[in-house]
Amino acid sequence: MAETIEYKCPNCSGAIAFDSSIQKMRCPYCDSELEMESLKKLDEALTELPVSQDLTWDQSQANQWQAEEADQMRVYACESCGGQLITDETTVATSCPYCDNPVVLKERLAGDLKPRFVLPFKLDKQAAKEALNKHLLGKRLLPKVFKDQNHIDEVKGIYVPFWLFDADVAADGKYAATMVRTWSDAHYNYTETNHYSLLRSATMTYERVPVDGSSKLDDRLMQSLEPFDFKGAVDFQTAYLAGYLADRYDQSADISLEQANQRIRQSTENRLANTVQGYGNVRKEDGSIRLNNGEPIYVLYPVWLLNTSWQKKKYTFAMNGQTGKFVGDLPLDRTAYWTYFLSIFLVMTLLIYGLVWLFYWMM
Amino acid sequence: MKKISLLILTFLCSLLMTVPVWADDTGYIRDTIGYLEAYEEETLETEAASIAEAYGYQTYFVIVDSDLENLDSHAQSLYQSVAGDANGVLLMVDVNRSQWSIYFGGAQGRSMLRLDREDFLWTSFFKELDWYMGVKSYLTTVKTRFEKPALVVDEAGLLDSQEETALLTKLNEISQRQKMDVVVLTVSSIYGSTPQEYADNYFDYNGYGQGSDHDGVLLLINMGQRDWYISTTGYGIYAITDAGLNYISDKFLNHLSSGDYALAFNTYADLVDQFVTQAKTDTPYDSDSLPKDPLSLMWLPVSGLLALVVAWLVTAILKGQLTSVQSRSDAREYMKDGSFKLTNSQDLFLYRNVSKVPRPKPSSSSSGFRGGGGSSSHRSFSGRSHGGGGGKF
Repeated sequence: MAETIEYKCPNCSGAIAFDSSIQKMRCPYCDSELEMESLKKLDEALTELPVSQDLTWDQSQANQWQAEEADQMRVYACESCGGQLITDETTVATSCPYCDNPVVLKERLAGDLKPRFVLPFKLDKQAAKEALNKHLLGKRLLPKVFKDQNHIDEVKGIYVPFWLFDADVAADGKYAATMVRTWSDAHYNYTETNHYSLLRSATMTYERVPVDGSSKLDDRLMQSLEPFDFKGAVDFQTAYLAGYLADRYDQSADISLEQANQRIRQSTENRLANTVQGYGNVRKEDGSIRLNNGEPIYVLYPVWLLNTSWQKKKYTFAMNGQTGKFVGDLPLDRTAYWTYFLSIFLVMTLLIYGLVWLFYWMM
Repeated sequence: MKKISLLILTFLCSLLMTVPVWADDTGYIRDTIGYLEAYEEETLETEAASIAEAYGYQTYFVIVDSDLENLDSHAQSLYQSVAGDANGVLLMVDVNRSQWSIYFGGAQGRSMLRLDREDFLWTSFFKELDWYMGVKSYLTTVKTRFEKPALVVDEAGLLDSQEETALLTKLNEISQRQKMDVVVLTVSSIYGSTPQEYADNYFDYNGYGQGSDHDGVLLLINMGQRDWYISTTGYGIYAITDAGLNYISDKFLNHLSSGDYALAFNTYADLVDQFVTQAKTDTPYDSDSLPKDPLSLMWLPVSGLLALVVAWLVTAILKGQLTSVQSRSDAREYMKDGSFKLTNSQDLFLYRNVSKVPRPKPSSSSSGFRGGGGSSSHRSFSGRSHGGGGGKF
């Protein structure tokens, strides 16, 4: 049985959570605000205290999980109400299902698992809901009833584990290119094709290319939320997690590295090819890209996840908790689609025919 | 043997010289020399007699020896001796066709014909190379001064009677309304003259044309050489410009070529009608203002196709608004600003190819001029001005 942390208000002992609007901890009961810096100190003091024996739990007696599942399950006790928390392996921060107080699982943040930086939430739950409404505006092919009928099942503020990779890149490229010149004299049209071989070498640096370290979240969804501005990141403190959900990474840096390399390679190739200009018909003949990766950095980035359902289908939206960028695919109204298609087709046919007709008679 | 045949030939020739031919020197056609065959003379005689009967006008034609002097007084005395003071005309021509004289007898012999030129009857005769054809033309010219011939003359027999009646009705209506004769003439031969000459002369010497300028348009079809020619006169020259003529012929030529003559002639008649109306109400159709065909229906599927592309594009954009989740394949926004350094950049020239193709010959189109080409005209045998043009079909 590992320990959980619950941040208590020094004033009223209520459970306190991080408030993104003031970028401080706030007590929802007595409105006290706490500096993150002082909590950090408190945090350090806390770890030195011995673990309370009362909270131990005899796991064997209550074990009704399959062995495999049990590996992924952990049982914790809530510090406020003593309620039993069952979390899966990767959960770092959650809330107590009984008293709804924020809970941080400290053991999952120790050693390797401790993030170096955290990007605190800048936008709150209300902003996420408003962003969803805004997201539905101006979409002509969205079913009209979707906005009224879809209801938000849950809105979760999640700290998503990201690996950040730095890379120094050296790249070489060899291109075959042609330049065409045409001229004519009294009798002939001439076409002169000059063939060139182009050599290009360049170095560049990539900083903090993010790769989502959680296998539970869709990589595409997370990539759509980019970019996060790393300048807003602060040294990790567990207190930031209070009031939010958080996962630890379950996809190692090695696996994530491949994804980062892929992306770096691609943009390096594009960038190098961009230096070839003024030629027609450029073809890449050969190339070499050498990456020198630095150490990966483990960070937590803020994401609002909104799950809604409509006509028994689930729709997942995500918002960048820092910049407010909102993504999520929407259903297509087929009737509206064809109505638009046909009416545009008919109107344009008449319009184009009319214009041709007009032009013809003006001639 | 050779000598004998020569002898016989000489004898025969002398016989020709001395014995007067079967020609007579009475009646309307008097050929003492014998240029006209008997049956030819008989035909012409009948024709002249019918003119006299129908219109009370005496038409004489006399061929005389070339050694005759003062043809004028001769013609006058001859006319007065045979016709007295009856209204009529006498054309006297010497055998070499070098001298001629015309005499109008009676009080109204001249005014009844309403000729604008004194030598009109002479040229009517003289334009033909053949004596018989010449006299025939002379008689026809006189006759048509009294009665205008039909506006459809289908000598080649291209139309059945129903088509001919319908066309004639249409041409009469147009001619009456537009105050100008619109004529269709089909022949099987034009006897060695050019289509232009034939069409112009036919128009002039057959009494076509309305008003003092002889306004009219004639379409000649010569089946012998498959010629077509449109001759315009008076207001017709103004109304139907060179460009207009090309336009009109473009419209009926394919019908002509495919043998649909009735349709070709009707097309011609309608277009001439349209052109004359245009000339009267506005300026004539010309190279820069030809009537337009209705826009080809081909444009409907073409614009449909374009509209399909537009509709697809617009709906694709609208559809794209619904999708905001997409993976990123590159990392360009993470490249450190200013970190990109081009360490090596070499452009190595390898080799060059030169290919040449002959230039297309510039098309020598002089049709590019704007502002209207107007109508070109020429002078016909009768001295009148004509416009027009033609070709083969």
